[in-house]
Amino acid sequence: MARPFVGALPYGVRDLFLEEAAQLTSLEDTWRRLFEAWAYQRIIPPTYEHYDVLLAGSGTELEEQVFRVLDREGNILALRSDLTTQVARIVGTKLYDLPLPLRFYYLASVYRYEEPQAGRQREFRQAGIELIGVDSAEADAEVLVLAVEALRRAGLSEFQLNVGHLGLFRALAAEAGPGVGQLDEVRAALNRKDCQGLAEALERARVRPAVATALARLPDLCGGPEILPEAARLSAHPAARAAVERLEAIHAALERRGLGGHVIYDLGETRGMGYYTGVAFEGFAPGLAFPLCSGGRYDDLIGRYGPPRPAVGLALVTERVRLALGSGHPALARPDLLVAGAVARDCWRQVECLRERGWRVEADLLERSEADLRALAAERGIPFLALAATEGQVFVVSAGRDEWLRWEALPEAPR
Amino acid sequence: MTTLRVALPKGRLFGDTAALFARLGCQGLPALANSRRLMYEDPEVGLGFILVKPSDVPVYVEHGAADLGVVGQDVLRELGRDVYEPLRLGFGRCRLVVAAPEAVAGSDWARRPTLRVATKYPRLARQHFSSRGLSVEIVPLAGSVELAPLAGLADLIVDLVDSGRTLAANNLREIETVMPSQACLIVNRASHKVHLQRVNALIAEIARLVGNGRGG
Repeated sequence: MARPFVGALPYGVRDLFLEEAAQLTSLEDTWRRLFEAWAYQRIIPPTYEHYDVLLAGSGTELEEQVFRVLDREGNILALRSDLTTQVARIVGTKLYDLPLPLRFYYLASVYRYEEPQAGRQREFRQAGIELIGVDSAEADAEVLVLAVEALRRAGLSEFQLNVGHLGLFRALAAEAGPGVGQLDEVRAALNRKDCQGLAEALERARVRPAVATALARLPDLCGGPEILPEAARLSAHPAARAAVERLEAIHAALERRGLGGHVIYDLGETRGMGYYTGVAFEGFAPGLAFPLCSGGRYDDLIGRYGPPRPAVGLALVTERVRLALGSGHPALARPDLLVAGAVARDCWRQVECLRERGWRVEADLLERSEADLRALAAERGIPFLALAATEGQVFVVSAGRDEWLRWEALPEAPR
Repeated sequence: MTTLRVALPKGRLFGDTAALFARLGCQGLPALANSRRLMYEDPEVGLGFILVKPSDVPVYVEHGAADLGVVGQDVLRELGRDVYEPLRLGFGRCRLVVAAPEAVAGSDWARRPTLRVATKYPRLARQHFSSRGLSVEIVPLAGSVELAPLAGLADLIVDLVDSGRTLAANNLREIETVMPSQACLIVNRASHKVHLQRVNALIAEIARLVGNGRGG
């Protein structure tokens, strides 16, 4: 094989630098502070694991997308394609005796062998939370609130969470009647909102007429909370009732916080990870065709690794959130203050003190002349330039004014 | 009000599609087909249109470059894109079929040791034969599929049939149906959520126009 050009990159990965890297860092910082403020603790699983162990949790759904690697003993390893499965393994096998609930967050790269789309490469960053040990509307709502808050704090104002619940479909499927085999075709038609295809699939599967009528209503049950009462009338099955009641309780919890407007309900969706068991959701923003975040309840997953625990989680696709925010070409980040080489050397204590106060200070290492420094600060839009200093005072160029100031008289860090 | 963008297919389905949107009040579409322009906006109706190859319609819609689109189910299934398809439009009806020259069609063809199938629908053809337990070689072609058996490239073809005249003219006989097809309306998933009411109203309006109670 010909050796690739030294600048070549494999398809599906990318370099992040300058502003883009800074923006990613600041997004992750924002989310880290948010999650920690809600008492979530960081969890850092390894990048690769035994393929079989990961697959035991995630099921065959992601199988085709997993990057597989052989180690030198011939064991099959997998790069993680999902953090939730890893957290489930850790909780199930190591942390099962800790007092519940447990709250974890992660900021990590994930690997999936799929076509890059909407800012998501084959390697992409995810920020997420897992809330383990409670099966209640309040727990579901906490995760949804954090999804809204995470998107808001990232700087998005227009976005929509699309919330479904797998319980309704599953309850109806359980009632579908004797002799009903696979409902895969029914489910596929539901996920396409293909009403006519759904009607045909229901007929082919010989679903009991009353249940077929209810299933055929699902694609239209998409909208605000006003659709929930109708959903409640679809089936008397306790699991169906419980699903709708759960959504009603979640909505009440979101309304209490004034977040109801960000949420629509869609009972026709049966998408999401194979391990979801209850509420499942995705976040969308105008102009971006693919979801920004997704999440759901997975009450059976941890039990595949240890004592069963109910759990609910959320994952944000960091690059897509960045894309929704809109970003230009990366530029060189701008410091708040540029200091001449002599100032940086002679007054390092005072400069250090500014850095501790949060100033971003760049020292000139090239011994530029005063004229060059002025030109550079103007060109890069650096708001403050220190050309000379003593222990007590500094000669500052700012907003077109030249003046001697006491070091302490410099304002709080700009920004 | 944001303009919703609709991707329309060039070719076979364009006439009926343009007629449908004309009934919604968009009169400029036939002119679009006759010009070299590929985009057209109707601010009064709040719709914009782009004209693309049929097989590109689902791509534009999945990626959100168009909010909605019109495309044949045959093309949609072949591409397997993740879009909503809430409505069948009742026109562009045809069938995707397996066909062969009489010498093959009249024989016990399924037991032949090798079967070569020429088609523009490699994915659907593969699914169809493998679901019947038949091992075939798929020869993907870009056009004039009927020629393949005559020229000795393939034993069978999988192709779209409308009246059946093209098959007959090439001495081919229809053996079995892979799927029936017609034009359908597709919607980007994010657009559906973000513009829920407008998209639903538009779907309902089109359903009324095509006389489809969304039942069958």
